[in-house]
Amino acid sequence: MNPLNKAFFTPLFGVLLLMTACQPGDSEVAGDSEVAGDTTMAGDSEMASSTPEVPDEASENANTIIEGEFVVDDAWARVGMEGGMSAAYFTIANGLDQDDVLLGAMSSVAEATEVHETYDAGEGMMGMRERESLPVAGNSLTEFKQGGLHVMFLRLTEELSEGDEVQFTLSFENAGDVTVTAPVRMR
Amino acid sequence: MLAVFIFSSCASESTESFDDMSVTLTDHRGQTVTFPDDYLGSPMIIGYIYTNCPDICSLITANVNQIEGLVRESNPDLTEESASNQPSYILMTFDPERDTPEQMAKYAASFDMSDEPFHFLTGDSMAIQTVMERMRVRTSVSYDTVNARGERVYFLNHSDKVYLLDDDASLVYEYGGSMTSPSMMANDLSNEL
Repeated sequence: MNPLNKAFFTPLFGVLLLMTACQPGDSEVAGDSEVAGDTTMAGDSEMASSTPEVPDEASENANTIIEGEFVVDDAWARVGMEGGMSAAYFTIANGLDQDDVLLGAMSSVAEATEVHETYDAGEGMMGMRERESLPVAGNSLTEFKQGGLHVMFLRLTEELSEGDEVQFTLSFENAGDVTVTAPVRMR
Repeated sequence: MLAVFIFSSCASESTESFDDMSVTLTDHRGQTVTFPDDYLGSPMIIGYIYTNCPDICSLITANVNQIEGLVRESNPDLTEESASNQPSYILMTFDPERDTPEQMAKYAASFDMSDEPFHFLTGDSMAIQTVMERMRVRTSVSYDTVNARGERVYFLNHSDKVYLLDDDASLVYEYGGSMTSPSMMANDLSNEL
Protein backbone atom coordinates (compact mmCIF):
# COMPACT_ATOMS: atom_id res chain seq x y z
CA MET A 1 0.00 0.00 0.00
CA ASN A 2 1.40 3.34 -0.88
CA PRO A 3 1.42 6.17 1.65
CA LEU A 4 -1.36 8.08 -0.04
CA ASN A 5 -3.75 5.17 0.22
CA LYS A 6 -2.79 4.66 3.82
CA ALA A 7 -3.43 8.29 4.66
CA PHE A 8 -6.72 8.28 2.81
CA PHE A 9 -8.21 5.26 4.47
CA THR A 10 -7.06 5.96 7.99
CA PRO A 11 -9.90 8.36 8.90
CA LEU A 12 -12.46 6.08 7.29
CA PHE A 13 -11.73 3.37 9.80
CA GLY A 14 -11.04 5.70 12.66
CA VAL A 15 -13.49 4.27 15.12
CA LEU A 16 -12.44 0.71 14.47
CA LEU A 17 -8.81 1.67 14.69
CA LEU A 18 -9.30 3.35 17.99
CA MET A 19 -10.53 0.05 19.35
CA THR A 20 -7.64 -1.97 18.04
CA ALA A 21 -4.14 -0.98 17.20
CA CYS A 22 -3.86 2.30 19.09
CA GLN A 23 -5.09 1.25 22.47
CA PRO A 24 -3.33 -0.79 25.09
CA GLY A 25 -6.61 -2.51 25.74
CA ASP A 26 -8.38 -3.65 28.83
CA SER A 27 -6.29 -6.26 30.53
CA GLU A 28 -8.92 -7.48 32.91
CA VAL A 29 -11.33 -9.50 30.87
CA ALA A 30 -14.83 -9.82 32.18
CA GLY A 31 -16.24 -13.27 32.74
CA ASP A 32 -18.41 -14.94 30.16
CA SER A 33 -20.81 -17.51 31.45
CA GLU A 34 -21.15 -19.01 27.98
CA VAL A 35 -17.61 -20.31 28.08
CA ALA A 36 -17.76 -21.70 31.61
CA GLY A 37 -17.08 -25.41 31.40
CA ASP A 38 -16.26 -25.17 27.71
CA THR A 39 -13.35 -27.40 26.77
CA THR A 40 -12.67 -25.66 23.47
CA MET A 41 -9.05 -25.94 22.43
CA ALA A 42 -6.85 -22.88 22.63
CA GLY A 43 -7.36 -20.69 19.61
CA ASP A 44 -10.96 -21.73 19.08
CA SER A 45 -12.45 -19.86 21.98
CA GLU A 46 -14.51 -16.78 21.46
CA MET A 47 -12.50 -15.27 24.26
CA ALA A 48 -9.37 -15.51 22.19
CA SER A 49 -9.83 -12.31 20.26
CA SER A 50 -9.76 -9.90 23.17
CA THR A 51 -6.25 -8.66 22.34
CA PRO A 52 -6.45 -7.48 18.74
CA GLU A 53 -3.77 -4.86 19.29
CA VAL A 54 -1.14 -7.59 19.45
CA PRO A 55 -2.48 -9.86 16.74
CA ASP A 56 0.53 -12.12 16.57
CA GLU A 57 0.09 -13.10 20.18
CA ALA A 58 -3.67 -12.98 20.47
CA SER A 59 -4.32 -16.63 19.83
CA GLU A 60 -1.60 -17.66 22.26
CA ASN A 61 -3.48 -16.11 25.12
CA ALA A 62 -6.62 -18.08 24.43
CA ASN A 63 -8.01 -19.84 27.44
CA THR A 64 -11.29 -21.05 28.78
CA ILE A 65 -12.88 -21.20 32.16
CA ILE A 66 -13.36 -24.70 33.56
CA GLU A 67 -16.36 -24.76 35.84
CA GLY A 68 -15.37 -25.46 39.41
CA GLU A 69 -11.65 -25.02 38.81
CA PHE A 70 -9.23 -22.20 39.53
CA VAL A 71 -6.40 -22.37 36.97
CA VAL A 72 -3.37 -20.25 36.08
CA ASP A 73 -2.34 -21.20 32.55
CA ASP A 74 -0.56 -20.09 29.35
CA ALA A 75 2.34 -18.69 31.32
CA TRP A 76 5.53 -17.43 29.74
CA ALA A 77 8.28 -15.04 30.78
CA ARG A 78 10.41 -12.63 28.82
CA VAL A 79 14.12 -13.06 28.29
CA GLY A 80 16.17 -10.76 30.50
CA MET A 81 19.71 -10.01 31.53
CA GLU A 82 21.14 -10.64 34.99
CA GLY A 83 20.53 -7.56 37.09
CA GLY A 84 17.85 -6.44 34.67
CA MET A 85 14.10 -6.69 34.46
CA SER A 86 11.70 -9.23 33.06
CA ALA A 87 8.01 -9.94 33.14
CA ALA A 88 5.72 -12.95 33.17
CA TYR A 89 2.39 -13.25 31.40
CA PHE A 90 -0.40 -15.78 31.94
CA THR A 91 -4.15 -16.21 32.27
CA ILE A 92 -6.06 -16.66 35.52
CA ALA A 93 -9.19 -18.72 34.79
CA ASN A 94 -11.38 -18.56 37.86
CA GLY A 95 -14.11 -21.13 37.27
CA LEU A 96 -15.37 -20.83 40.81
CA ASP A 97 -18.42 -18.85 41.78
CA GLN A 98 -16.38 -17.16 44.50
CA ASP A 99 -14.52 -13.93 43.81
CA ASP A 100 -10.84 -13.87 44.70
CA VAL A 101 -8.06 -11.34 45.07
CA LEU A 102 -4.47 -11.59 43.87
CA LEU A 103 -2.43 -10.31 46.78
CA GLY A 104 1.08 -10.58 45.37
CA ALA A 105 3.76 -12.62 43.66
CA MET A 106 7.04 -14.21 44.74
CA SER A 107 9.97 -15.77 42.95
CA SER A 108 13.60 -16.65 43.47
CA VAL A 109 14.76 -15.38 40.08
CA ALA A 110 14.72 -11.73 41.07
CA GLU A 111 15.38 -9.51 44.05
CA ALA A 112 11.77 -8.39 43.96
CA THR A 113 8.67 -9.75 42.26
CA GLU A 114 5.63 -7.52 41.96
CA VAL A 115 2.31 -7.34 40.16
CA HIS A 116 2.43 -4.42 37.77
CA GLU A 117 0.27 -2.90 35.10
CA THR A 118 1.22 -0.93 32.03
CA TYR A 119 -1.31 1.80 31.40
CA ASP A 120 -2.00 4.69 29.08
CA ALA A 121 -0.59 7.68 30.96
CA GLY A 122 -2.13 10.14 28.49
CA GLU A 123 -0.66 12.36 25.80
CA GLY A 124 0.82 9.37 24.02
CA MET A 125 2.76 8.25 27.08
CA MET A 126 2.77 4.79 28.58
CA GLY A 127 3.30 4.27 32.29
CA MET A 128 3.62 1.42 34.73
CA ARG A 129 2.18 1.06 38.19
CA GLU A 130 2.07 -1.58 40.89
CA ARG A 131 -1.19 -3.44 41.57
CA GLU A 132 -0.98 -4.45 45.19
CA SER A 133 -4.42 -6.01 45.24
CA LEU A 134 -6.10 -7.26 42.08
CA PRO A 135 -9.71 -8.51 42.14
CA VAL A 136 -10.27 -11.78 40.28
CA ALA A 137 -14.02 -12.19 39.86
CA GLY A 138 -15.68 -15.56 40.00
CA ASN A 139 -16.28 -17.17 36.59
CA SER A 140 -13.87 -14.84 34.84
CA LEU A 141 -10.68 -14.81 32.83
CA THR A 142 -7.99 -12.33 33.79
CA GLU A 143 -5.24 -11.96 31.23
CA PHE A 144 -1.76 -10.85 32.11
CA LYS A 145 -0.45 -9.80 28.75
CA GLN A 146 2.06 -7.56 27.05
CA GLY A 147 1.12 -3.94 27.42
CA GLY A 148 -1.12 -4.66 30.39
CA LEU A 149 -0.97 -6.63 33.61
CA HIS A 150 2.26 -8.51 34.24
CA VAL A 151 4.27 -10.01 37.03
CA MET A 152 7.45 -8.00 37.07
CA PHE A 153 10.82 -9.40 38.03
CA LEU A 154 13.05 -6.61 39.32
CA ARG A 155 16.79 -7.17 39.23
CA LEU A 156 17.08 -10.69 37.93
CA THR A 157 19.50 -12.82 39.89
CA GLU A 158 20.29 -14.78 36.74
CA GLU A 159 20.00 -14.30 33.01
CA LEU A 160 16.78 -15.60 31.51
CA SER A 161 17.35 -17.06 28.05
CA GLU A 162 15.10 -18.72 25.53
CA GLY A 163 14.49 -22.29 26.61
CA ASP A 164 14.84 -21.56 30.33
CA GLU A 165 11.97 -21.95 32.74
CA VAL A 166 11.11 -19.76 35.69
CA GLN A 167 8.91 -20.52 38.63
CA PHE A 168 6.93 -17.98 40.55
CA THR A 169 4.15 -18.10 43.08
CA LEU A 170 0.95 -16.12 43.01
CA SER A 171 -0.78 -15.53 46.35
CA PHE A 172 -4.54 -15.38 46.28
CA GLU A 173 -6.80 -14.48 49.14
CA ASN A 174 -8.96 -17.59 48.73
CA ALA A 175 -7.12 -19.93 46.37
CA GLY A 176 -3.93 -19.60 48.40
CA ASP A 177 -0.51 -19.91 46.81
CA VAL A 178 -0.39 -21.07 43.21
CA THR A 179 3.03 -21.96 41.82
CA VAL A 180 3.44 -21.31 38.11
CA THR A 181 6.14 -22.61 35.78
CA ALA A 182 6.75 -20.40 32.76
CA PRO A 183 8.95 -21.05 29.72
CA VAL A 184 11.22 -18.14 28.82
CA ARG A 185 10.71 -16.65 25.38
CA MET A 186 11.62 -13.50 23.53
CA ARG A 187 8.00 -12.88 22.63
CA MET B 1 -7.38 -5.68 3.20
CA LEU B 2 -9.34 -4.63 6.25
CA ALA B 3 -6.56 -5.94 8.43
CA VAL B 4 -4.11 -3.76 6.58
CA PHE B 5 -6.22 -0.72 7.25
CA ILE B 6 -6.60 -1.65 10.89
CA PHE B 7 -2.89 -2.01 11.45
CA SER B 8 -2.19 1.16 9.51
CA SER B 9 -4.11 3.14 12.04
CA CYS B 10 -1.28 4.36 14.19
CA ALA B 11 1.02 5.22 11.34
CA SER B 12 1.09 8.86 10.46
CA GLU B 13 2.77 10.25 7.42
CA SER B 14 5.35 12.97 7.45
CA THR B 15 7.97 14.53 5.23
CA GLU B 16 10.00 15.58 8.26
CA SER B 17 13.71 14.98 7.82
CA PHE B 18 16.34 14.30 10.47
CA ASP B 19 19.36 14.32 8.19
CA ASP B 20 20.72 17.55 9.68
CA MET B 21 21.02 16.30 13.26
CA SER B 22 24.54 14.78 13.32
CA VAL B 23 24.48 13.76 16.97
CA THR B 24 27.37 11.79 18.44
CA LEU B 25 26.22 8.61 20.16
CA THR B 26 27.71 5.26 21.17
CA ASP B 27 26.43 1.87 20.09
CA HIS B 28 26.32 -1.31 22.15
CA ARG B 29 29.54 -2.45 20.51
CA GLY B 30 31.30 0.56 22.03
CA GLN B 31 31.69 2.30 18.69
CA THR B 32 31.20 6.06 18.46
CA VAL B 33 28.59 6.78 15.83
CA THR B 34 27.04 9.87 14.32
CA PHE B 35 23.27 9.75 14.07
CA PRO B 36 21.80 9.64 11.54
CA ASP B 37 24.80 10.21 9.27
CA ASP B 38 26.31 6.79 9.79
CA TYR B 39 23.05 5.11 8.89
CA LEU B 40 22.17 7.03 5.75
CA GLY B 41 21.87 5.13 2.50
CA SER B 42 19.38 2.55 3.69
CA PRO B 43 16.14 2.79 5.61
CA MET B 44 16.00 2.71 9.39
CA ILE B 45 13.59 1.36 11.96
CA ILE B 46 14.03 3.16 15.28
CA GLY B 47 12.46 2.07 18.56
CA TYR B 48 12.77 4.17 21.71
CA ILE B 49 13.35 2.22 24.90
CA TYR B 50 15.02 1.98 28.29
CA THR B 51 16.40 -1.29 29.51
CA ASN B 52 14.87 -1.14 33.00
CA CYS B 53 11.41 -1.32 31.47
CA PRO B 54 10.23 -4.95 31.40
CA ASP B 55 7.02 -4.75 29.45
CA ILE B 56 6.46 -2.13 26.75
CA CYS B 57 10.12 -1.59 25.83
CA SER B 58 10.79 -5.32 25.74
CA LEU B 59 7.82 -5.67 23.44
CA ILE B 60 9.16 -2.91 21.19
CA THR B 61 12.57 -4.61 21.15
CA ALA B 62 11.06 -8.00 20.34
CA ASN B 63 8.95 -6.38 17.62
CA VAL B 64 12.01 -4.80 16.01
CA ASN B 65 13.69 -8.19 16.09
CA GLN B 66 10.66 -9.72 14.39
CA ILE B 67 10.55 -6.95 11.78
CA GLU B 68 14.14 -7.75 10.83
CA GLY B 69 13.29 -11.42 10.37
CA LEU B 70 10.20 -10.67 8.31
CA VAL B 71 12.02 -8.20 6.06
CA ARG B 72 14.87 -10.63 5.50
CA GLU B 73 12.39 -13.40 4.65
CA SER B 74 10.68 -11.29 2.02
CA ASN B 75 13.92 -9.83 0.65
CA PRO B 76 16.39 -12.69 0.07
CA ASP B 77 19.08 -10.24 -1.06
CA LEU B 78 19.31 -9.10 2.57
CA THR B 79 20.53 -12.48 3.78
CA GLU B 80 24.03 -11.05 3.77
CA GLU B 81 24.30 -8.68 6.71
CA SER B 82 26.60 -6.50 4.62
CA ALA B 83 24.07 -6.06 1.80
CA SER B 84 24.29 -2.48 0.57
CA ASN B 85 20.61 -1.84 1.15
CA GLN B 86 20.54 -3.58 4.53
CA PRO B 87 18.24 -1.55 6.78
CA SER B 88 19.45 -0.45 10.19
CA TYR B 89 17.38 -1.64 13.13
CA ILE B 90 18.00 0.84 15.92
CA LEU B 91 16.92 0.74 19.55
CA MET B 92 17.72 4.06 21.20
CA THR B 93 17.56 4.65 24.93
CA PHE B 94 16.00 7.68 26.59
CA ASP B 95 17.62 6.70 29.90
CA PRO B 96 21.33 7.27 29.30
CA GLU B 97 22.06 7.58 33.02
CA ARG B 98 21.60 3.83 33.46
CA ASP B 99 21.82 2.61 29.88
CA THR B 100 25.55 2.66 29.34
CA PRO B 101 26.96 0.96 26.23
CA GLU B 102 27.79 -2.05 28.42
CA GLN B 103 24.22 -2.19 29.72
CA MET B 104 22.90 -1.89 26.17
CA ALA B 105 25.20 -4.72 25.09
CA LYS B 106 23.86 -7.02 27.80
CA TYR B 107 20.31 -6.06 26.92
CA ALA B 108 20.95 -6.71 23.22
CA ALA B 109 22.47 -10.08 24.03
CA SER B 110 19.47 -11.14 26.07
CA PHE B 111 17.33 -10.61 22.95
CA ASP B 112 19.92 -12.31 20.71
CA MET B 113 20.34 -9.00 18.87
CA SER B 114 24.04 -8.34 19.45
CA ASP B 115 25.06 -8.52 15.82
CA GLU B 116 24.39 -6.45 12.70
CA PRO B 117 22.02 -5.11 11.57
CA PHE B 118 20.96 -4.21 15.12
CA HIS B 119 22.22 -1.04 16.77
CA PHE B 120 21.47 -0.19 20.39
CA LEU B 121 22.36 3.47 20.84
CA THR B 122 23.04 5.55 23.91
CA GLY B 123 25.05 8.69 24.58
CA ASP B 124 25.64 11.48 27.00
CA SER B 125 22.56 13.10 28.48
CA MET B 126 22.71 16.19 26.30
CA ALA B 127 23.03 14.16 23.10
CA ILE B 128 20.15 11.90 24.03
CA GLN B 129 18.04 14.87 25.04
CA THR B 130 18.73 16.50 21.70
CA VAL B 131 17.63 13.41 19.81
CA MET B 132 14.55 12.78 21.91
CA GLU B 133 13.35 16.36 21.67
CA ARG B 134 13.76 16.29 17.93
CA MET B 135 12.04 12.91 17.69
CA ARG B 136 9.25 14.10 20.01
CA VAL B 137 9.87 11.28 22.46
CA ARG B 138 8.79 12.37 25.92
CA THR B 139 9.63 10.89 29.29
CA SER B 140 8.79 11.64 32.90
CA VAL B 141 9.87 9.91 36.08
CA SER B 142 6.89 8.00 37.46
CA TYR B 143 8.40 6.20 40.43
CA ASP B 144 11.56 7.17 42.22
CA THR B 145 12.95 5.58 45.35
CA VAL B 146 16.15 4.34 46.94
CA ASN B 147 16.51 0.62 47.60
CA ALA B 148 18.07 -1.09 50.62
CA ARG B 149 21.51 -0.82 49.05
CA GLY B 150 21.17 2.92 48.67
CA GLU B 151 20.73 2.69 44.92
CA ARG B 152 18.27 4.89 43.11
CA VAL B 153 15.43 2.94 41.48
CA TYR B 154 13.08 4.71 39.11
CA PHE B 155 10.70 4.04 36.28
CA LEU B 156 9.69 6.29 33.44
CA ASN B 157 6.48 7.14 31.73
CA HIS B 158 7.41 7.44 28.09
CA SER B 159 6.21 7.83 24.56
CA ASP B 160 5.51 4.54 22.85
CA LYS B 161 6.92 5.01 19.37
CA VAL B 162 8.67 3.34 16.48
CA TYR B 163 9.81 5.37 13.48
CA LEU B 164 10.48 4.28 9.93
CA LEU B 165 12.98 6.59 8.25
CA ASP B 166 13.93 6.35 4.60
CA ASP B 167 17.52 6.19 3.37
CA ASP B 168 17.78 9.99 3.65
CA ALA B 169 16.59 9.97 7.27
CA SER B 170 13.22 11.41 6.37
CA LEU B 171 10.34 10.19 8.47
CA VAL B 172 8.15 7.80 6.51
CA TYR B 173 5.87 6.59 9.29
CA GLU B 174 5.50 7.14 13.01
CA TYR B 175 3.94 4.11 14.67
CA GLY B 176 2.43 3.45 18.06
CA GLY B 177 5.48 1.43 19.02
CA SER B 178 4.51 -1.59 21.03
CA MET B 179 1.01 -2.12 19.72
CA THR B 180 1.61 -1.92 15.99
CA SER B 181 1.79 -5.13 14.00
CA PRO B 182 5.41 -6.05 13.17
CA SER B 183 4.08 -7.46 9.88
CA MET B 184 2.73 -4.08 8.86
CA MET B 185 5.93 -2.29 9.80
CA ALA B 186 7.95 -4.93 7.92
CA ASN B 187 5.82 -4.39 4.82
CA ASP B 188 6.31 -0.64 5.05
CA LEU B 189 10.05 -1.10 5.43
CA SER B 190 10.22 -3.50 2.49
CA ASN B 191 8.49 -0.87 0.38
CA GLU B 192 11.39 1.49 1.12
CA LEU B 193 14.02 -0.93 -0.20
